[in-house]
Formats: sequence, C-alpha cells, structure tokens
Amino acid sequence: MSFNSIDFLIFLPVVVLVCFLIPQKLRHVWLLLASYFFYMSWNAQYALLILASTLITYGSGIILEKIKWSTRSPERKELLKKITAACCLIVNLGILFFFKYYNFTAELLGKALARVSISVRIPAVDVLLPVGISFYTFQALSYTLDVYRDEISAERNFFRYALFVSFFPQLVAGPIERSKNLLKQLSEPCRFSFENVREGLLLMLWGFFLKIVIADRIAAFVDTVYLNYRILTGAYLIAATVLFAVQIYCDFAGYSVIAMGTAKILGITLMDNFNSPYLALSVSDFWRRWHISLTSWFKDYLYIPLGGSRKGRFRKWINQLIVFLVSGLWHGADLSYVIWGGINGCCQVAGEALKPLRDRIVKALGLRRETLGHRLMQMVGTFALVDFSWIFFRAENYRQAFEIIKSIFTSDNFWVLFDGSLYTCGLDQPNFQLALGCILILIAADVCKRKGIVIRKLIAEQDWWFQCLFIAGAVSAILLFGKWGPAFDKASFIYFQF
Amino acid sequence: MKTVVQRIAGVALTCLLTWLMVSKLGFLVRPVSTDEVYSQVETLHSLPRDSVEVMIYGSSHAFRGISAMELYDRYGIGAYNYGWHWLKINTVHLFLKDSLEVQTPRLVLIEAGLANNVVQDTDITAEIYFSRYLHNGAARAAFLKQCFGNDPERYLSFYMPLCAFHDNWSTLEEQSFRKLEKGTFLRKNMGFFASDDVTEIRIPDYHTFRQRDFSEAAREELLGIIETCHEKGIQVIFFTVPWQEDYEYGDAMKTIAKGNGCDYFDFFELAEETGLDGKTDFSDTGHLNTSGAVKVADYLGRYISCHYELTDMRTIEDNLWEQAKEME
Repeated sequence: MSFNSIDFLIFLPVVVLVCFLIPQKLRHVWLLLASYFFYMSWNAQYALLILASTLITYGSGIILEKIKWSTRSPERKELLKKITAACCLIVNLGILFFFKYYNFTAELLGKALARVSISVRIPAVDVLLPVGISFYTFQALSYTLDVYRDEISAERNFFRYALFVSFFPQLVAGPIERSKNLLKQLSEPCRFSFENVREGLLLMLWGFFLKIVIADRIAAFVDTVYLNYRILTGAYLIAATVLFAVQIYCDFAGYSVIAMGTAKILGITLMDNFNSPYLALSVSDFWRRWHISLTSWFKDYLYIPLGGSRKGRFRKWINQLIVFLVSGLWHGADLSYVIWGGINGCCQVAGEALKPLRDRIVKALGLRRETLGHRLMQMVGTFALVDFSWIFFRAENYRQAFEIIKSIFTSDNFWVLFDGSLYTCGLDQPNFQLALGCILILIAADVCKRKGIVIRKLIAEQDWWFQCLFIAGAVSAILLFGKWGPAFDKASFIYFQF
Repeated sequence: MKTVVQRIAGVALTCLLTWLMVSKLGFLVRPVSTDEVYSQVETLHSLPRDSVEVMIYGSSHAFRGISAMELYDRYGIGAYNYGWHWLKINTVHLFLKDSLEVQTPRLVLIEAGLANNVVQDTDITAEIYFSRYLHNGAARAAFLKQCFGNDPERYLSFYMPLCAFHDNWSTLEEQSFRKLEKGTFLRKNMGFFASDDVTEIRIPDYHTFRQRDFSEAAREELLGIIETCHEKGIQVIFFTVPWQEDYEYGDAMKTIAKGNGCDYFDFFELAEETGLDGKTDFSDTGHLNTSGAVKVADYLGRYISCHYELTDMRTIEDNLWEQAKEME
C-alpha cells in the first residue's frame, strides 16, 4: 500500500478515526495492528521478518538492561553487554545481508575466484527484497545501541516497542527514527489536536505535490532518456541527469513529508529528513541536509565509533570514506551504489583537504564568501558534483553510468535544449513547462525553509476563509496536475527498493 | 465553543469547496468528443413516450449508416437512430436498455460491425465515461460492473472524472468550457448523423473474408440483446453495413440470427443489390455518407414494410418526423 494509492487514502482516515475513538490505552495496539496491516499489504510473509527483528532487539534491550542492573563486576558487565549487542547486530545484519546482499556477494565472490582460476558455483537465492528492510533494521539497531550505550532505558512494553519498529508512516522509507524521539512520544498519551491534523494535512499536501506533480512527471522524461541513452545522447542526458536530481529529491522528500504529515495527524512528530539540500554550499553541507536521518545514523553509530575526527586528519578522512562507501552499499547491492558513495566521500574529503588552498585563493583574489554571487556559485558547484554522482544512482549499472558520463562529456548537440527536441522524450511541451514551473515553486519553498520561514505556519496564521480556499485549491491543483489515477502506472517511491 | 463551531464550519467549507472544484475540474477535463452523446441521449429522452416503432442501435456504422428520415419518407416507418461512434456490443446493449425506458419499439435494428468487441477493459475509456449520460441507472450499474469488476479505483474514475481524465488539462479547448446542450442537430434527422462528404473507397469482396467465431463474451452479449428484446415482444434484425475492411463475423452473425429467429442483413454481400457504390456512397473509408445511408434505408425499409406490421406514420398529422423536417 503506497502513499499514492487509493487504498492508503481509505486506510488513513479509518486508522485515524478509530485511533481517536477507542480508549487511550488501546491506541498503541491499534496503531501496531494498522502498521502490520500496512506492511503486510506488500507481502504478508515478510511481516515475520519485521517481527523477528522486533523480538530480537526487544529481547536484547531487556537483557542489556538486566546486565546493567546486575551485581556483576563492571568489566564482566561490559563484556556481557558487548556480547549481547554484538549478537543482536549479527542476527539483524545477517537477515539484512541474506535478503539484500547475499546474491551480490556470491556473484562478486564467484567472479573473484574465477579470476584466480578457481571455479566454484555459489548458489544464488531466489528471494524478493522485503520492502523497507534497511530502514526498519537500522531503526531497531539504533535502539539496541542506545540501550547498550545507556543513553536510554530498555522499553518494557513490547507492543509499544513493536510499534516503534513498525510505525507505518515511516516504516518502508524512513525517516529512520531514534528511540529517543519516537519511543518517547509513543509513551505519551496520543490526543486529538485540530492543529496537528491541520499541520499534518498541509504536510501531506506538500508531499503529494512533490511526489505526484513533480517527481512522477519528471520521471517520464528521465526514464525515456536513460532507457534510450545510446540514442538520446549528450545534451539529452545532461537535461535528464539534472532533472533526475530533482526527481529523486521530490520522490524521497515527498515520501518523508507525507510520512511526517501522517504521523503528525496521529500526534507524533517525526524528524525532518531534508533541509533544502540543493541549496547546500558544499558536499559535506549537502549531506547535512539530505536524508538527515540516515546521515546522522551513520555519524552516531559508525563514524564516531570508528574514531570520528578524534584520531587525526588522515584517519578522519578514512572514516568519512568508509561511512560513504557503507552508505552506498546500504542503498543497494550493486557496485554502482558503492561508486556513488565513494564519489560523495571523495568530494567531501577533497573539500576538506583543499580548504586551505581555497582559502588562500579566495584571500588572494579578494573575494567575499558572504556575497550572494559567491554563495550561488558554491551552490551550483555543489549541485554539479552531487548531480554527477547521481548518474551512478540512476544508471542500471556502473558500466552504463560510465557510458552516460562519456556521452555527457562529449556532448555536441546543445541545440536540442532549445529547439523543442526535449518535448519528444516522454513529456510534451505543456507538461515540461509545468514541471519547470513547479521546480520554481520548489526552489522558492526551499529558500524559505533555509531562511527559517515555515510556510505551513504562515498558512495556519491566516484567516479561516483563506485556509479553506488554500486547502481546497491545493487539493484540486494536485489532483489536476498530478500523475495518478488509472491512466498512469502507479509509480512507487524510489527509496522503497532500499 | 465558538472556536469549535468555527473549526467545524471551516472543515465543512473546505470539503464543500474541494468537492465543487473537483467536480467542476472533472467537467472541464472530460473527453469533449463525447459531448454529443449527451445530445443523442437527451434528444431520444425528449421524444414523447412510446412514439417510435423502430429503433436502430450500433456503432458509427449504424449511426451514419441508416437514414431514419428516409425510412419515414419512403415507407412511413417511424424510426429513431440511437447509435454512436465506436459502441461495442455491450454498450449497444446498454443503449438498448436505456431507450426501452422511454420507448416501446416493435422492431429493433442492431448493427453488428463491432459485435465481437466487448468493453471490459480496466482502463476508463470515453465509451465508459459517456454512459453517465444514460438514464437507465440499473442497466448502467450492470454495465459498469462488467467493465470495472470490483476495482474501486475504476469506479472512482467514473464518478470522479478528474481521476481518469485530469491529464487532459493540457488540451483544454473552447468546447471544454461550454455547457452540455441537447441542440437540434440530431433531432432533425431523428438521431441519424448525416454527412454529404464523399470519399472513394473499394468495397471489399466478401468472398475473400476469413471467418471467425464470436468470443464467448460477445456471444453472451448478443444473446442478451435478443433476450432483452424478446422478453418485451420486440423483433430483432441484425445488419452490417460495408466499409473498406474485411468483416470476419458474417457467418457467425448469420448463425446467431438464424438460431434465435432473427433476420440478418450483411450489406457487404448485398452491396451490389442495394446499389452501394464505392465511388459515391462513402464519407470516409469507414462510413457511409447520406447517399449510402439512404440506399441502406431503402433496402431495409422495403423488407421491413413487407414483413412487419408497423404503423404508417405518414398518416399521422404533425408527427415527430414531420416536426423534424421543419427544424433548422
């Protein structure tokens, strides 16, 4: 059941209505049931996986808590805690590995052995990747690690904990919530609030605008060009790659915002996963603004344990590279994702390594970094670097990505950007122009966000008649211009595959 | 308390405004090519009850293939042509049921050019969309069930046209903003779509047609049409008018007609006898023009007047057909 399906538009009001009608103490059980129903609508069997992950992390949390309060020696306690946490990590990551990385590893291993003339046939497994497995596994592990670090107490109420792992708005594509935020909110009574419902609906409207008006519209163009990359070469690929950056942002941010809105209606505040990422001034700034929940997860549970920046500059760069390579692998079991992560890691490391040089150049040329022109150049430069890496994300594999890069850098058909040829690639002129207009709205919204202006709050401050008109108009506009209904294939969210 | 009332009023107003906008936008993006179906349906329903003795149904081959006024002028037959472009056989059945709400014909003529086509697709097409204009709600409900199954999204598309046709926003035209109107252009020809265009075509030789049998769904629908008529004591004549392509269901149609006590006229076979001329009687490669439609009407009218007991409408003063002649 995707957010952009009719099923969800029936499911959500029923869940919300029942949630606020039943007694307070039953609400979490109801939400848990709803969450499992939501997840099982993809594949009922995979609910067992999420249940297994929940049981293991819940159990390990209780054990870690018991060890903490036991009368054993501190060293012994530490050892037992480490063993418990390690077991929990191994089992959870083992499940993730089996479903997501086994075939990839087997293939790589087979090829590597073949290179040294060892012919071993490693059997592949025919399994479907469970939707959102990377998201809920990381969320559950963050809980275990937080308990292990004594940052939170173990949750005793199994149902509440199970809801934390499976809370349907963010179950399949994040944000990857932390126990400190979500579990705490789930412990509090969930009350109906008109303000929450209004804010939630406004968030959902924005999310649907991003997803079905922008992302799915642009997808038609990007898919056509990438599918025919040997025919639609050079400037076509440049346009498609630039637009893919917008597509993936609107697709993923759209999901995250709808998730935030859905949760808000239920009285839960989820973290904001995006903060105007394409207005970032450097690649490292971009990663502070893009998929924030995952970036902060890696920072807290991988980068810092690896030593972070505490062990010297060189080690810091190595740690950064490791984080980005793992992040690439987290996204998908394919070398192209690893390369994508590697490029981003290298850009970040290079950005830091070259900072003294850049500072000297800026000083020598008498440039002022705070000027709008300088900032714009930084934004454009950052966007270009990030967008370059997206080629590996969008291409079918790294070989195709290299072909596309070659085609881009040997472009000799720039006129197609101006002579209307672009309108023959899956998006006609009105739709193309509408997409560009919507991108301008997106940029304006991101600029407001960067300046700390919360548009939905501005709307909420208006007179009631304006709010009525705005919501009715926005719903109608999204329904009119969105890509939805029986005439379109229901485009699923890109991040579902992770 | 005041705030609560204000909020409830606000929510209600938002819902009302949204509903209004969605329905208005749905109207704007409708497939305007179907606007004339409204005119066809409303024209028939505006006629006095039980005033028509012969009803003609079918796709554009019927709609443009038999002149109802010629049937009246030459034989005094009181006919109305209730065909429309591209009607598949189950939509023909729906139109038949719809017309029986207001008319009790003695004889119906069913054009069988698209008899093997049954709209069962999962997409909402304009053909399904325009069934909204028909008056027979029960028949439409059965038709929709046949087309959509139990898929709620398809039903939503039907009742909320914005869902199915919103992508038409980029092709809005002047007609999109016009109100649906009945007009008089169909009334003056009693439903028949007259065209004086001439396109020279080659009428194919029916001896060379490959013959196929109807699909199970199409056969069921044809038998359903016969049953609907026979239940009400209505006689049925099937017919096919020629166009520039092969018709592969002539034999199958003959078998069904014969097996159920109905007549069948295949004008591919009767083209010569009727005097249909590929040089003068077609408006395009798919349809007869007025000249051709008059010839088909003459042939069928002669047969009907000899074999069926019908009122000679010419004996009735100021009848519907005389009124039609006086229309602009």
